[in-house]
Amino acid sequence: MAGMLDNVFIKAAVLTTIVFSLGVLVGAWLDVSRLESVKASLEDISDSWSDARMQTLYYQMFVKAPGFCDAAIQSNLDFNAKIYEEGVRIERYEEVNKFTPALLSEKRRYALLQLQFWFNSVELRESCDANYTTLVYLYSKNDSLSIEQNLQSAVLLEAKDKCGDRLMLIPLPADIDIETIELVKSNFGISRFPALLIDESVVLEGLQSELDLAKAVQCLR
Amino acid sequence: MNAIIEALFLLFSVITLYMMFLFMFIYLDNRRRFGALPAAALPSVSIIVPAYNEEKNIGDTIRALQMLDYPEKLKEIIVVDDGSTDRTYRIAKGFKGIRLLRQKNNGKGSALNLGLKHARGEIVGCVDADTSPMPDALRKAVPFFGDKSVAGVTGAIIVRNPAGLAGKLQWLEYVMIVWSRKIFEFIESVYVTPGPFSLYRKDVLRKLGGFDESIMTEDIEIAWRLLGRGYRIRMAKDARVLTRVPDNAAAWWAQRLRWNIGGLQTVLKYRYTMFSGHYGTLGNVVGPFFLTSYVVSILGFALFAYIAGSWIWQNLFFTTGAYAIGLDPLAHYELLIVPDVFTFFGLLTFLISIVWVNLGLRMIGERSPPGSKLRDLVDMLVYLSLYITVFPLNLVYSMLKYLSGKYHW
Repeated sequence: MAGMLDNVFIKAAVLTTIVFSLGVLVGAWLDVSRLESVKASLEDISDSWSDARMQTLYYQMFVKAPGFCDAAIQSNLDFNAKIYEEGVRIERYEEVNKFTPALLSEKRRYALLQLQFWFNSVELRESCDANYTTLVYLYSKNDSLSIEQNLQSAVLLEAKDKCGDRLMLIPLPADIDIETIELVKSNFGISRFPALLIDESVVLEGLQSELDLAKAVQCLR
Repeated sequence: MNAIIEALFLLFSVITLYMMFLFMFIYLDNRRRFGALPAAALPSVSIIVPAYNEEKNIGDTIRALQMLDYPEKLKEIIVVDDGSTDRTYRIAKGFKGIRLLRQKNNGKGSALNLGLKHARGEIVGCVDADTSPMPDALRKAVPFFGDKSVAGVTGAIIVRNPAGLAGKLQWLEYVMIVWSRKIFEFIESVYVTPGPFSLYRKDVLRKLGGFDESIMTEDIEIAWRLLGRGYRIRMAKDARVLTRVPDNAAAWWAQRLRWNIGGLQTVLKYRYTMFSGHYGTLGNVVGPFFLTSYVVSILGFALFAYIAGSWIWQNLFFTTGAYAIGLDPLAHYELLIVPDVFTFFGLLTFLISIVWVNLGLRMIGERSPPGSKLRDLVDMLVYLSLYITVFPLNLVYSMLKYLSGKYHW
């Protein structure tokens, strides 16, 4: 009797250990697959970014024809769409990935690309006299702000839908220890999230409705 | 906070998987003797029916007992009226060939003890007054007493009135109880000899002092006492009895409250046996199983409540916030599941549960409740999600009631 008991109890323990380990392995495999996919995508975006940046430089250094300015702005806009989607994907994966802290470094890489995109957009707007608004959206990973930030994201998505190419939407994670972002926060006195920085001059802190935005974003009026 | 929730979820998954695999291995190791019925001489049996205000059911129950396929000279029916204020006594008095006892209302345990005192049979059967054994129930249960170490035998209690969703769910629950109790028999751990139909060796029952009248579930307590004294309990899965179950939520809640409080009383009474080898499977299996099931139920419910509550909270605030700032919330809802380690364990546990319930239905020989139009799978899904979610609430409430001391039969 005791032998039979031990037997089934031990057999169940062994199988539980195997299945649990298998589950953890599957979880880790899913995490790694997601990380690899983000990495590959960021590589691709990074190449697109270099291309867009080269076009801006090429225009500034060698060519002054207006057609090239349009092409550089278009490349910049295409890049905006790509990197925005990637940002959403990283945020989603960050919530579910349990075994791969490396995703944080990809998020930092993504934030750096966004920063470069922002500066390039400002530079292009000045040198090409382009008519678009840059809107930097700084958000925090603080869980208590998630509802407010989800609402802000929804407002910004609708604004982007309405404005199209006349609005450059640049979401930036505010608390991932990137010195440039810290500098931006400090220069513009941003301490509360979500925060919006419009055309490098207007700072709006806390949740903003579309009506609030319309006061500072021309294409929404 | 999230890390704690995730760790608890993994702990919950490990315990649940372990219990499921344990049950599966016990079944696989014993499947050949699953339906075995030993051959043995028929002993004399006294069937005690404690009844309190059972005017609607007592007649049917006595008729069913009289129709039991068992030699008349070996069968005795004792009805104990526990101070009913309705026509129970008068109805029982109208039947010939039964012994009718009467006492002031003193509870079921007391009524059973009175019956036990007067019983003449070698074996004592206890049958609830709202229960009807099938004609062959006794013949399919009694042979297990051929083994001298067996002091208790119970049968398969099936719901007689599976009407409405609640009835169907309870029908499924009762079949699952039969299934799991048979599994427990193989590790000598049948932890309850349920009131609707159980048989005992009379001399053992008398030697142990009869039923404990202070415990709300005398049927759990007596099973623990038998196991603790080294006796065996058998589950006669083919000895079928039909019983009535609560047909409304309030009655169901009150019944479960009594079960849970009685369970707690028993756990506390026998706490000294917990994890002790001196008391056989009572200390090694039954006690720890009760504790584990309490932990799993409450932990599972707490996790579910936290996850579902957070989701509802988030969506409620998102919706109201969206309307407040002029957004259409429906345009921004996202129903997207990104699979992770928790999805894996959640899905695996759910799939194993479905297989387990299905296997149980097949092994017990039940497919769907009479007159059911629901497909088995739908029943199962509802059973697994709704029923198991509500039960822990009752358990926690029972614990609070027990601690407050404000409970009665």
